[in-house]
Amino acid sequence: MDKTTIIEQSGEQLSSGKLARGKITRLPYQSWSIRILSVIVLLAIWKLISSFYPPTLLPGPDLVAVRIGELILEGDFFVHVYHTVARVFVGFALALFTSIFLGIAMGTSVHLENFLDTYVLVGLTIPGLSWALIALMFFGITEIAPVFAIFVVTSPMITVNMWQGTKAIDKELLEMGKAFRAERSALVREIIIPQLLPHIFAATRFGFALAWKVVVLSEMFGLSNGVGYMINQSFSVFSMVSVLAWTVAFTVVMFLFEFGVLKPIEKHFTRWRPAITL
Amino acid sequence: MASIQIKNLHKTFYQKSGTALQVLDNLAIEAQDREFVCLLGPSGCGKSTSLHILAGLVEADSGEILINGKPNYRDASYGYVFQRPRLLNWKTVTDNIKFGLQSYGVPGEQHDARVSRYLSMVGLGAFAGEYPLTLSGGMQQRVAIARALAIEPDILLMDEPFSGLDELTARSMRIELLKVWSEDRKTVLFVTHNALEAVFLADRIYLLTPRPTKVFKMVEVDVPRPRDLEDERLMRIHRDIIKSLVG
Repeated sequence: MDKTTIIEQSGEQLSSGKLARGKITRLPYQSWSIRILSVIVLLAIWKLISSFYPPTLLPGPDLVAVRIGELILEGDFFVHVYHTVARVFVGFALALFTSIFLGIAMGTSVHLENFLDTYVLVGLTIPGLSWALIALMFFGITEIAPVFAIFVVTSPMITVNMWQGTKAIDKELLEMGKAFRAERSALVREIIIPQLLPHIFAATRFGFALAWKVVVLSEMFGLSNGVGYMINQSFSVFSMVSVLAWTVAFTVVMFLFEFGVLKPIEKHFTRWRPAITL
Repeated sequence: MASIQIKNLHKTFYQKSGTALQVLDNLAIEAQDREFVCLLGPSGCGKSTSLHILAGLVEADSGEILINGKPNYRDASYGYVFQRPRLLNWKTVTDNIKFGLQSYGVPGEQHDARVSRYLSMVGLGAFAGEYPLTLSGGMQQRVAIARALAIEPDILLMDEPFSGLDELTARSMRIELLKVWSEDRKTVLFVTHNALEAVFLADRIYLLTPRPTKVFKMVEVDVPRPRDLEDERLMRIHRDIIKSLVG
């Protein structure tokens, strides 16, 4: 191949690259408008159904929004959200840390895989409600109870993710690294961890969803603050608007975390993936 | 500067079921300094295993490997090009080449100069900042070749590097490889199952048997370079090789 054909090929490649980028810039805009539309449709359906019921039984989204505003103005809101979020973060961080090691161990050793397999399956099966109650009975009304419950509920799921991620690691790349005499630390840093990252992100996403469900249970049954506690308080005075307000508000907080923190970090680490356009 | 002598190389793999798989049986190969040597054999024979042994990925059961007549063959440096590019997709083209340099212990202050030198040698100077997945298969393989050349190895090991490419791309890659190689001649061990490719590239071809692999014929390709793929002399050698392979 002479030089001109190489340059021609290069030019072609560049322009097709630009074409792909043009498509990417259109994509987020489209996806955002569809997302917003789906939220509007959901609120409209809610509003429509609520019009058939008295507001004490099923308040519309407008009444719930007003209640959320009140909660925020009263100042309690951030205190309770803070307690719940703190429990979720501590419990989840412990689970993530432990499960990454367990998962990699299971992915690399057949013996550990066979040994831990049962625990993981049992852990995945036991209901979060059981763990929340067991933790409260064992640890009493302490901060350890919700953190422990989150830890045991999310660990098996994260472990499974890391386990599968480890098994999916491209052995040919490790071989390449060894052929170039890379040190062990470089193999882990440059070849293994980058391949585990997508699995860590998936685990974080599902783990948070699980953790939030468990922490609310712990707070309902034993603790004296947090979003779950406030939902239970609202339930005991039969205030549907407050139950919904707390639930919706916390869901929004988790959404903000997903789109404000998790997604941007993930995007940064997966910027090398070309966008898939169909 | 490196000549290679491989003598009596034996390797048997043991499968999980316990059955022994004899891969190399008394393999003997020689390459002079700056010589381009092809190992030609059917798929599934132990061609790659011999390269793996040189690169330190596999240990031989017995045998002798001499580099420049000395037995400490792991002291020599080896640039490896695999069948698939095996690039780190999360690193740019530049950082992929630097990974090789870093791993091989090339001093950091030389990295930038080496990257630009070998990237332009394979015609990819304009793609230094791109990620591999935005490049075509042929371009990815050129990055892999640049990664192997950049460590400025004593010996270049190439394991069917063009067999994953379409024939037209493979053709131009072969011509380019010879051009790059003629600029800075290294000793090359090139594994292939493509007789035409071997004839076009090599100074010397070893024909290998199916497993357990040993040499059953050595062919010198005494045709001056640059070669023309349609050269009658190459065609004749190719015909002879095919005849002796088919029997």
